[in-house]
Amino acid sequence: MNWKDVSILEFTFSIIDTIVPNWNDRSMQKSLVSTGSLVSFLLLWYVGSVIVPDAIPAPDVVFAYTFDTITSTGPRGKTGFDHLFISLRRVAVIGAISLTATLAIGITMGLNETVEDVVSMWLPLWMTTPDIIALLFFMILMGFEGISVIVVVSIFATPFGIVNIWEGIQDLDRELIEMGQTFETGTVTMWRHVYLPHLLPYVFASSRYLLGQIWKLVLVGEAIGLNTGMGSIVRLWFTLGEITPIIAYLVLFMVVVLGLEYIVLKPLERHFFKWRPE
Amino acid sequence: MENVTKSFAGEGDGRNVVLDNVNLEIESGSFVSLMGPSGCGKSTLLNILAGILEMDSGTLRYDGESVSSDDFFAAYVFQEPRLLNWRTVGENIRFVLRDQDIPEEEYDERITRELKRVGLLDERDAYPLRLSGGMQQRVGLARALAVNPDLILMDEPFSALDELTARKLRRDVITLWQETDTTILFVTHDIVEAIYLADRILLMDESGDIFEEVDIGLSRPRSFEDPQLNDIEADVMDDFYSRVDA
Repeated sequence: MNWKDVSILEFTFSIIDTIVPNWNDRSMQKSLVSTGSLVSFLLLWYVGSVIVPDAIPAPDVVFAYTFDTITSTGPRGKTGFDHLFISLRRVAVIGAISLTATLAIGITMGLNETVEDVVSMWLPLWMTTPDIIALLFFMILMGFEGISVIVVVSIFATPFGIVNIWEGIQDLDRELIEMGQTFETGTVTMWRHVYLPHLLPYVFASSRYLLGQIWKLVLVGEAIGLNTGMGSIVRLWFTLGEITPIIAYLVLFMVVVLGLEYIVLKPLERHFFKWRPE
Repeated sequence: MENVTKSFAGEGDGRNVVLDNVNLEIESGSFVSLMGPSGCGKSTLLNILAGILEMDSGTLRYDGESVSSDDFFAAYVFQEPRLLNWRTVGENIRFVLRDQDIPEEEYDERITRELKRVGLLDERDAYPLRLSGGMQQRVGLARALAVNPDLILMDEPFSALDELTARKLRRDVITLWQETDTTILFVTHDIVEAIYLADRILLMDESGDIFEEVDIGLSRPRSFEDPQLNDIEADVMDDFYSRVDA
């Protein structure tokens, strides 16, 4: 081989080919990209910790701290796992309330013009109310309790899901509805086999969005006014000026979110959308 | 159909008359083609027979009796397959059987029978998006046959397919029609297609009036290359364009 004829790119590919012979395979490429980005992130983090050691603790220190935080009893007599569980429970309750409300209101908006007019009139206000002000207002009104966070986050996360489901209803395939009519298909069959499967991608998009919103808002609510949950502990370490435990909780938070994505949402998605060509 | 009229709201207070006193008779077991320019009301006529649209005035008769579109079953084969992409081929057929007066034990037998008829039994568990356009249209045909309809309405079902696939499907439709002794009303723009398929062609003008009926006396099986078919095509073209603007 004449090395002068080989570009740097081709040379790189030939090395990758030698190390990973089937890298052209799509799933292999996906794994390589995921691993590559994770390694790059850790590398950047490590470099950052070397440059500004006072501001950014090294990854290994944070991981050790995270493990320690989860398993041993910390301030307020609870382990990190206990606080995580409390926050997760709040997220689950709010998620259930919010997704139910999202579906009920979004679908009703698609079916009833009066409901559509009323809700769409209030949506801009509903979606742009600053969550922090709502949290403070309800905490003063209802007390500095978990229930205040549940009420506020349920109310203010929901409109983002509603918009999605409403769009899904508007996007219903009229031709499929007409097909159902010509074959004299009943309402229950239409809902089960046409409307709901059509809405499913919108439900997944809403769930993913709601989950992100709810997680973040619950932690903010806990940080502002509660003594339990991950947010409250992060605030405690913040007031003590400790960086390492804050990042340790951030790592824990990321692990949970990624776990939900890859252990729950992705497999469900693969199951429900197996009809889509690769 | 006797003196059937249908109009839609037009600009201002006016009405846009789509079907104007249409009379149409389809013999049981026959293959009738309806040909006309775009927007002349062919699909409106099919939609009235399918029960999707109500007519403004006129009468529908079935076996001589005055009926509504609910009293006979007209199954539709659309221009696009209109399949549920998230259901398998077999489930797509099951979908139209669910709310019929058909015992559930019969579903499997019917699905197998019709898929075998259209040559897609091996694709029973496949999802529609993994099939070619021609195969999807065959599923649409199997779906229509599965309900044992009194009438099959076909609205330009092969217009989106390549000519080779369309020719094969036309041959298959004729075989299925002869096997099942069903009645077909087939809407098309294509004069050659109409002559190849039908016993009788109805020509419709822009004002929604069926102005001529042509009996096709050709024996079956027919061939696209048959000189007689080309002669009939020339005659029908003359009749059609003497009334309808090209």
